[in-house]
Order: sequence, then structure tokens, then C-alpha cells
Amino acid sequence: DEITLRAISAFQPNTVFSEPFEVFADRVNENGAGIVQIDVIGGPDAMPPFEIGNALRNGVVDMANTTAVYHANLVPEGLAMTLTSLSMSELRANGGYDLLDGIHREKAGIHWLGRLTENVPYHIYLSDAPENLEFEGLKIRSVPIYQAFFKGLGINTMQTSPGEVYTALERGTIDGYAWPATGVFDLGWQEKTKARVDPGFYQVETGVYFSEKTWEKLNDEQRVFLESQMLQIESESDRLIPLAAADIARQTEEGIAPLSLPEAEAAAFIEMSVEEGWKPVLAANPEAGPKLREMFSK
Amino acid sequence: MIWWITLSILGAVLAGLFATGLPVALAFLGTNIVGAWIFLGGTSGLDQLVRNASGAVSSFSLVPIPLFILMGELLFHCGLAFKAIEAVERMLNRLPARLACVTVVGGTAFSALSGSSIANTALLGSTLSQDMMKRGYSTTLSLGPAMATGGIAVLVPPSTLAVMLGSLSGISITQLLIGGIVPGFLMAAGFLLYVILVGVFDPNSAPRQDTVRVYTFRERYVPFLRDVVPLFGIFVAVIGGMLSGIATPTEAAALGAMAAFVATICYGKLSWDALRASLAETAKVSISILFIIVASTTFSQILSFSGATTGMLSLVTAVDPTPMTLILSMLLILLLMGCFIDQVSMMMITVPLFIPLAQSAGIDLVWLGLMMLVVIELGLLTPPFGILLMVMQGAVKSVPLVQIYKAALPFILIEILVLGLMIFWPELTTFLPSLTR
Amino acid sequence: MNWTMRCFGAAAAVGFAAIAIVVSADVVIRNLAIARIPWISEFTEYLLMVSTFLGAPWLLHAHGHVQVDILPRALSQSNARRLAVVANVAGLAITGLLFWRACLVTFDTWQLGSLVFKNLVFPEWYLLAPILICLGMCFLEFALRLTLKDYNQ
Ligand code: NA
Ligand code: NA
Repeated sequence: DEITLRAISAFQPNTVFSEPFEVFADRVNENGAGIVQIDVIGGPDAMPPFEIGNALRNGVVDMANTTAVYHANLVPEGLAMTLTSLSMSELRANGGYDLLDGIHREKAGIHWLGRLTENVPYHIYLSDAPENLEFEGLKIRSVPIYQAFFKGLGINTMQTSPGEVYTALERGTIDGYAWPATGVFDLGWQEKTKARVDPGFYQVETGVYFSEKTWEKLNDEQRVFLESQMLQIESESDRLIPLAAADIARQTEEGIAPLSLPEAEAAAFIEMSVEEGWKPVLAANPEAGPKLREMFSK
Repeated sequence: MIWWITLSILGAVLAGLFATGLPVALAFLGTNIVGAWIFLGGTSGLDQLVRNASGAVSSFSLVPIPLFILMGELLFHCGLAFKAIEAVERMLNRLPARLACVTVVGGTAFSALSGSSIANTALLGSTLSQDMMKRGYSTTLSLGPAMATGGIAVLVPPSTLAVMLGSLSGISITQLLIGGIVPGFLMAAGFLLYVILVGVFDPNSAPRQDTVRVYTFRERYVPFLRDVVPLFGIFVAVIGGMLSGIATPTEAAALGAMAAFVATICYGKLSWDALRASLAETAKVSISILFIIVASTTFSQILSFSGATTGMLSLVTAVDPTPMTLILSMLLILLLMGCFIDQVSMMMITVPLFIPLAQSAGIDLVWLGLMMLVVIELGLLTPPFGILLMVMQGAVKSVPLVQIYKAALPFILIEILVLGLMIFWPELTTFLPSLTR
Repeated sequence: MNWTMRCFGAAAAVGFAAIAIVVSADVVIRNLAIARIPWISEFTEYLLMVSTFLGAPWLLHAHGHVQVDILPRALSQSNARRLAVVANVAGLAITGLLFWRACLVTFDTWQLGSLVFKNLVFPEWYLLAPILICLGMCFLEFALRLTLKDYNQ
């Protein structure tokens, strides 16, 4: 017997991070006739992104395209997926996936089905291309996941609402912002962006999350089908590499110059990002935290 | 459930609760209970409603609202606004409907400072509108311009909604911002002309005491220099803070409130009573607005969740897709939505469908985006739920809502007229943006 | 009751004033490079939310909320009074139902021990307490209006 699952997305339709889920849902609907169907009921207009975790926990929706960053209130350990340098196939093999899925189920009644976005790093973007890049004193719009890292670099972190970033860049209230390698063009901020700092850091995580209540109601055939569809899309995660590269090339075309850190500096940059990024995760879960870090790091 | 049944059920509940005279915010919450129970699923749905409502005003983009209101209330209760208005009255005493003209011009100037229509109208409503009511201006002249120019804040940069539309749709933000200038000023000109015509043909609507005595040059201009010019210091603080990059538009609003506070001290007008009154009024007006935003935001979310809005959008794809009918049906849908739904939600709901459709029909996106902005702006004024109407009612509590609807009507018609011009004369909107391409 | 409500109003007013002071101070501190306070914007957002929810019952008590007054004004005095009873009963039901759910949600969140995970880290139920208090006080206001038969608009 066929079941129709109600899905919500944390991302606007037709944007970089809703696209992988749209592909996933389309495939399920195509191959899952008679087994399972997905009805995507809406995006952030229907459910505030930071509430999706609770909606899953209470069974208000059956499944969601979201990121663990949005439900860090319930599962702060989920940030590990943003910090990891391992691929999903490695994490599934070494038990990292099972550990984090278990934490999700136990703490929040959420089942983590799998990952949709991999291999897309975050970058710092600047409204001016400086001759000599100095992080000290730069005013950069940032969000909590990389706040501590930026502070360590001497950056003056700014919390600017998305609606004001454009004006703030134009007027110099902020010198830049951090954003994934892809998606800058979705926001229109490229008009006020002149440089991108390389290397990138972390990697954007979006994934498919289930309400555990719903998941328990599914029969074996339905679960196996959904898992196989998920594994299929995870196995194609390399396709995001050329996509990110294409966006980077387009950035160059539109006048966003790459600013590469010298090798030694780049290594220190990455090391600090990882070190600072793990601190809140370890603080939130002193027991499982170290194990998680071990499994999610190369 | 079929979308129009959903829409009629929720619409009927909302209208029924509105009619009882229950506070608008609670009427929305009551409707939300019904919607959450049906579509979000029983008691878990109600729990989610409580959570969503709790998070709805924790947004930095709403911060300018109380700040600009505080600025206005400080100037009003400490008597600075009154003195400044008095001085302007004297200087312009030959102009019919002077203060209404001042509201239009001042409101347009202020829209170049603020990206928030609500803040704009609340500021003008708590100063100039209240003052005009006291001086015996008609409600149309007292209240209309403050609401109408609040809408201009959406078109003239900076504009939070224009930036948001650009971000959601991929239309160039720069071109949207620049393109908004001409329609914005056209509207302002239309409002000004209308206000003057009313003043000329209906002298009762704008009383003049000056028939009795004629002011000397000195009597006319000294108060202006003394009472008005220094107040520009506040605007310097706000604009300067923004243009120099010291502050974001939101932060500039805070600087404006602090500058107003300093101004009241400098004029020696600050008293404990005045300060208390300003703070109490700020709380009243801000809370009445923000509480409605809490309830109406969650209403839009539930409407979206129920599939009613997506169903409504399917009307667009049903029409014969010649570019003009497509544009007209899109604008019509936005106009309908604007009667019930808040502006940000309208954009989030419609943009993902409209933009690809328009692209495939070969419609100029900047042109379409600007017309969408004008219609979204109209939604701020259209009954039954127009947030600027509610803002005005919060600011002048004594006036019946019907009078406020009536006061907005002529200005709505002028905006529709400008929209018509934009539709049939695209160069009007696309000329300035084309210079930046 | 009157006095309690006024305290809520005063708290809201002070909250809004604090927003102006905090945001301005942040601009000064940032531009003079005295210190870095990454949590200021978050804190301001919470202030806005708390002020709104604490002030709403006071405004209800003061009959200061925006309402569509078309029908009440069109009716005769006695009918308008009956309509006011209907409105207050509806208000009582709406705020009562939501207050009950808000209690359960807040308790559930407290039990779960979830944390708000931004620059400021604190228990999530803190954010639900203001709306809980708001709904409870509004419920009380409607209950008092109905028992005291005080429906003046
Ligand atoms: Na503006
Ligand atoms: Na409206």
C-alpha cells in the first residue's frame, strides 16, 4: 500500500539547496509508485526554517529538506556534518552515520536519512579586493557556526539580517560576508562583491530528515526503498564538485577576484576553523563529542 | 481539501472574528487555531502554532519600527514637533492644505531614509497626522498622506522589500532599487497634486487662520530657522550614519531616536512627564503593530502550509499565456493576496512561480519586479487587512476604521493610476535601470 | 489588576527604550573599535519579542489594540453590548486554548532541555515563557471583563 509523505523544505524553491531535494523527491515519486510518494508542501513561507526540527519531532511534517544547523537547538552534535572532512560513504562505513543518527533519534525523535549536499565549502566574500589581505578588524557578516572561528582571525563579526546585507555592503557598514561557494548568485549580492578568499572552509550540509514517528509507521519495503533512493543520490554527490567549480568560474567572470592565502597561512586558517568549530559541539556533549570528532575527522 | 474551500473557510472565520470587534491580532490567532488544527494536525498543530508565533517577531528587520516610533513620539510629546509644524505652517501659509503637503514631501524624503513602510507611517501618523486632526483638517488630508507615503518607502531606496524581491527572484537588486525611484516620485507628485486640489476646491478640509492676520517676513522665517532647521540635525544623524557606512539602516533608526532625545534636551524641553508619555505611546503603537505581525505572519504560514496559496497560484498557469494577460493575472493575484497576507509572505509564495513563467514568456524582469513591488505596496493599504491602515489606527485611536479606509481610498486610486502608467509605458520604469546595464 | 497590567506596560516601554540605547551603543563601540559584542543583534531581537509579548496584555487591558470597529459602531448600544460579549467570549476561548497549549509546549521544551544555539546559548524554554505569560494574562483580562461585565470599547 502506497503512503504519501508530507515534506517541507528549509530552502526557497529553485535555489541551489532546494534542487538536490527536488531531484530526490522526483525520483521517489517516479520509482515509488505503489510504495511511497512525497508531497512537498512548501518552503520557508510555510514553516520557519528554525522550527523544522520541532515540526519533525512532533510529527507536524513527515520529512524535511533541511540542515542540522537549523535544528542545532535540539541536536547541536549535528554541526559535526558541517565540520567533517569525510565523505558520506566513509561516514557510513566507519559508523559515524549510525552514531549521529542515533543521537538524532534519541535527543529529538528525528531520523537522519542521509546527506544531500557535500563538497560545497563556505568562503569569505569581500566588497573590495585589498592589496594585502588582513583579517584583523574586517567587518564580516557571519552566523553562529563560524562566529568563534572568525573571532579567532581577528574579524569583527556582524550579524546583519539578509535583507540588509546588500545595503550594508554598498555603504561599507560591512566589508563582506561568508557564504557557500554556490548560491551567491541566488541572492544578488554578487553586484556588491569584488573578492573571494580561498581556501574555503567547512562544507555545507543539507539532508533528508524524517520524523521518527513517521519512520516507525513505514513498512520494511517502504524503508528499504527510501534508503536505497537516498544511497543512490549520496553516491552521486561528486556531481556537486563541477557545479561549485562552475559557480566559482562564473564569479570570476562577474568580477569576483580570488584572493588565495599563502600555503602556510591557508593551513593555519583551516586548522583554526576546525578547532574553533568543534568547541561548541564538544561543550554540548562531553560524552559523545570526542568520539564524534574522532569519527568525523580524517 | 480544494484550495478555494480552504480559502473560504479560513477567510470566513477571519471575517467573522474581525466583525465582532475582537482585536485584529486575536482574530488572526483564532483563525490560526482552526487552520493549525485542520492542516498542521490537531494538538501538535496547535503546539507548532504557539512556537511559530513566539518566533515571529524575533527579527532584526522589525527593530526599526519601535525606534522610528520612539523618535516621533519624543519629538511630539516634548513639543518640538508641534513647534516645527507651527513654523512650517507660517512659512507656507499661502499654500492650500499646507500640512498635508508637508506630510507628502516629508514622507517622501523620509522614505529615502527608511526601508520600512510601517516605521514611516507610524512616525508621520504619531506626529503630523495627530497635529492635523487637532487643527481641524479633514481625516482624508490628515491620515491619507501619512499612509500613502509610507508605501513609497517600499519603492524609493533603501527598501527592504525591494532587496528581498531581488534576492528571491534573482532580478538585479541595483536595478530594482534604481527603477523604483521614478514610480515612487510619480506617486509622490500625484499625492501632492491631489492634496493641493482638495485644499483649493474644499477649503473646509484644510482650515486657514491666516485670513485674519498677515505675518511679517521676520515672523515667518525666524521660527523656521529656530525650530525647524536644527531638527535637520536628526536627519543628518540618520542619513550621515547610513551613507558613511557607520550604521546599517536599522542602526540608523536607533541613532535617530537618540538624536531626537538629545534634541529635546538641547531645546530644554525634556521633562519626566514628557519622557514617560513618549515611552508609553511608543509601547502602545509598537505593540499594536508587532502583535498583529505575530499573528498575521503565522496566518500566512498556515495558509501556505494548507496549500491554499499554491492553489490560488494555479490560476496563473490556467490563463492564456500572452505576456499581457500573464502580467495582469499575476498582478491581480498579488492584489487579492494583499488584502489578507503580509508583504514578505506574498513575495516568498509568488516569486518561485511568477519569475520562471515571466522568463519563459519573455517579459522584462525588472519591469515586472517593479510592478510587483507597486502591487505589494498597495496591499499595505487595501482593506480588510492592510498593515498601514492598522498602524494608522494604532496611532490615532479615536478615528473609526471606516474613516481610515476612506482616507486611504483616493491615494489607492492614484497608485493604481501610476501602476497603469507603468504597465502601458514600460520605458517609464526601465529607463533608469537600463543606464546601469 | 490595573497596577499589575501597568507594570507589564512599563516593562515593555523600558524594553523598547533599551533597544534604542543598546543598538546605538553597539554602533559607537564598533566604530571606535573598543570591543566586539557579537550577541548584540540577537539580544535586540529577544528584547523586541519580550517587549511585544509582555506589553500586549497591558494594551488589551487599556483597550489599545487595533480592531475592526465597523459593526460595533453600526449597531445600537444594546446590540453592540451583546456583540462585545461575543467578542470577549471568543477572546477568552482563543487565549485560553493557546495558553493551555503554551503551558504544555513550554514544559515539554524545559523537560527536553534543548538549548538555543546561537552566540548566546541558553535554554530554549526561555523564549517560550514570554508568549506563555502573554496568553495567560490576556486570558485573565477576558475572564475579568466577562465577570465584571466591563465591555467598554
Ligand atoms: Na525607502
Ligand atoms: Na491589504
